[in-house]
Amino acid sequence: MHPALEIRGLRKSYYQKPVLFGLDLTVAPGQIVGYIGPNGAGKTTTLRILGGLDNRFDGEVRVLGIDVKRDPIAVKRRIGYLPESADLYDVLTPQEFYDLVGSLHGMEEARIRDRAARLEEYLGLSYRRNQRMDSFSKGMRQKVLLTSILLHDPDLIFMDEPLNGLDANSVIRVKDLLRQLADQGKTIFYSSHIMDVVERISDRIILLNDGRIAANGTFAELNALAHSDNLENLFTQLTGGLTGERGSRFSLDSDE
Amino acid sequence: MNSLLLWAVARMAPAWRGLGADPRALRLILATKMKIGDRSLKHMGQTQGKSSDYSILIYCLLFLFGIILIFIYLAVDDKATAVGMIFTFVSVYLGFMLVTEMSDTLFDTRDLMLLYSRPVSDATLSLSRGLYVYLFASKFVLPLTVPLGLALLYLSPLMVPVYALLCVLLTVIIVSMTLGLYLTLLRRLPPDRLRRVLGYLQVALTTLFIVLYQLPNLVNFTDSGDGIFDLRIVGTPWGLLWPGFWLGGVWDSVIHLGARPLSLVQGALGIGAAAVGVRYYVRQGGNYGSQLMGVRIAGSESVEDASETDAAPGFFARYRAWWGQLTTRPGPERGSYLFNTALMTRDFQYKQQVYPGLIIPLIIAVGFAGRRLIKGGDGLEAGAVITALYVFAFLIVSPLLSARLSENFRAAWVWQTNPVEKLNAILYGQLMAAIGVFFVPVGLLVYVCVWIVGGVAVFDDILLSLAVILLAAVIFQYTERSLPFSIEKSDGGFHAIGPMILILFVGSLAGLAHYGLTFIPYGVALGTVGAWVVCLLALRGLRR
Repeated sequence: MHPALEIRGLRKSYYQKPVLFGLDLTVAPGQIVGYIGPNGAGKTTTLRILGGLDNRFDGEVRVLGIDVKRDPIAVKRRIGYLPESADLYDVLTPQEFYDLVGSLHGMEEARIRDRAARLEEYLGLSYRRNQRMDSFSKGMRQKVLLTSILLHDPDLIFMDEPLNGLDANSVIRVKDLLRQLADQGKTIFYSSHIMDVVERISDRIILLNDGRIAANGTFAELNALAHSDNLENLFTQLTGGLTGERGSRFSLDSDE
Repeated sequence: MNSLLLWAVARMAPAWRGLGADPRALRLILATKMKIGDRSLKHMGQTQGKSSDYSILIYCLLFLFGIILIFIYLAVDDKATAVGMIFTFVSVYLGFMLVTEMSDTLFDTRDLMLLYSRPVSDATLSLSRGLYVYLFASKFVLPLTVPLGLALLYLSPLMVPVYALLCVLLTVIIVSMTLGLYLTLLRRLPPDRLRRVLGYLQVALTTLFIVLYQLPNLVNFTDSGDGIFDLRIVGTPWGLLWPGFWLGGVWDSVIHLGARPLSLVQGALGIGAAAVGVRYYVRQGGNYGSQLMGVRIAGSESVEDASETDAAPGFFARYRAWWGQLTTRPGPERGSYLFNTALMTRDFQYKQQVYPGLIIPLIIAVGFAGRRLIKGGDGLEAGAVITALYVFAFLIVSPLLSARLSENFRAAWVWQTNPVEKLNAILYGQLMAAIGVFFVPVGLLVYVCVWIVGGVAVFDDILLSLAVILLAAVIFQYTERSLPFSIEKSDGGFHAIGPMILILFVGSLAGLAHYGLTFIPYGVALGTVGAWVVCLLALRGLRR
């Protein structure tokens, strides 16, 4: 069986400024992988490359055994991709949006409707028939996005900050959903800044810092490595941040 | 120019204080907004990245318009009427521009969280927006009015101060009228309805502007003899109709002391309108911030508050669904059709750009048909009919061109993250949407009118031109490969300049060839068959 993800020597630069410095990574199917790192570490760039949205990179990237540079369409057929803070054509109703996404995957209308209804019910998304998305809250939009990327039953799901804008109950729902999907053999590769969620639901955590993988393993393995009691401390240690007593004191005005 | 305008605002600090605003905060907000405005100048719905070159071009064009206004001043004998006409032109342009361009600025709430969470009063907030719009409008009024000012400096220098005063008054009247209308709407309408009402208002005004622009040609106004030279409006009851003529009344009253009584009334109306307009705007400004916040949070309404109804689809919705099922296959074709149809009929920016333009073929066709029905007489020459038939290509190419652009172009990620296996299928769905939504309904009216004008003899001409127009649309889809509603609106259609030139070239050639065929026995009939065969083959190719 192919690994869900296989990355060898992945390098990427924006206008000659290197962002990723030769990443090597293999992810087995059926795992939930939390991809964490400070702002600007290269998480979104990696996800865009894996999702077949950017083919200007060096190195070898295989998604579900498919060379993403050579055949991005074949990759897109089998994955779901949730962009970070995605805009929507908000004059559409959710149903019209699902119809568009489903039709691009060659799905029949009845199946789109049926799956969308199930997902919306599970995520607790309700609205009036014919209600356009321009009147939706941020959380409602995020649920529409989550529903749309799962419609075609993808084998691998990429998500950039999937919990953006969701309330506490919805976060619990999404976490349960991810676990169930992983139990069904789907691979989930997501980035997030919410450390306690990553700590709790990820089978494996990959920490990216300055375009390089700084840590890669289960939480227990990483914990043993760095002797920290939670992911937040581990994150701070490995990315060179300072917290608590070790952090410098802040004062709005200079000391007199 | 910004510094000069800000300096002028700072000099009037006591006046702002008297109106309840904080002059310092007012100046700071204005300075920042003008800086932002300069860096993202909007004109005719386009947000420009490189504003400097573009704004210079706009100001140059306005200056040229201003030079044309000098000729109106020289051509009309009654100078008060001439000034009234010039101010009417400027005011219509300014009002149109404010409604179409400044709506977003007026209801732009992005800065509101920043400003309203600071100690800024409602009066400061509403005045800052009002003044910003006034300064924005002044930048456009200046190049329009300066040429005549320079001409007056040469012709009669004493009139220049009066003219300058009238320019200021005109800007105050039009800005306060527009702002007053907007504030009234803001106070009276629920936020979600307000957006729609504004959208329709913009479409209606753009349509009106285009119709007014075309009207003289259509009614042969300019051929009606030399009546324009003797035209007298200011000082007659007609002069009460529009603020531009009221200012003509002020001109008449000041320049010719003891002017016509109605000129005095109109002049008083002009000055009164400016004062009342400003006062009305300031009085309506209370609670301004929270009203605007209402617009901002309109997106968070709960399901129960939503205004959408579960009513059965209307005739046009059923027609569009039928057309989609008739012309597209399930899958990407149908998905694209439904998506494009929804955006073409709902996106206000799209409507504003496309809908008014559809009026032109209708006016041409209905105008000619109406004249034929009322006056009778011979039909048009073959050449004129053929030219008109090819102008109708506008009905399909314009909707297709605009269907690439979107203010919301960032939402186009959906085309990138999902597998678009055959771009042609998406473009075919879009073409069918443009045909179904615009070409069939408007075309039905237009071609019936052409039939009335040209008689049964033009039937084969219609069929031939239809095939050529459809073929042109297919060629456009083949050559302009952008995904639907995926290009930043600031491109303004320039990205498709190549395909557009190609269509114009091919279309003109086809028109000439069509005209040539009329001289050959059965030429048009044979040409029609040939054109339809090519058109259907091209459509088939787009679907493969």
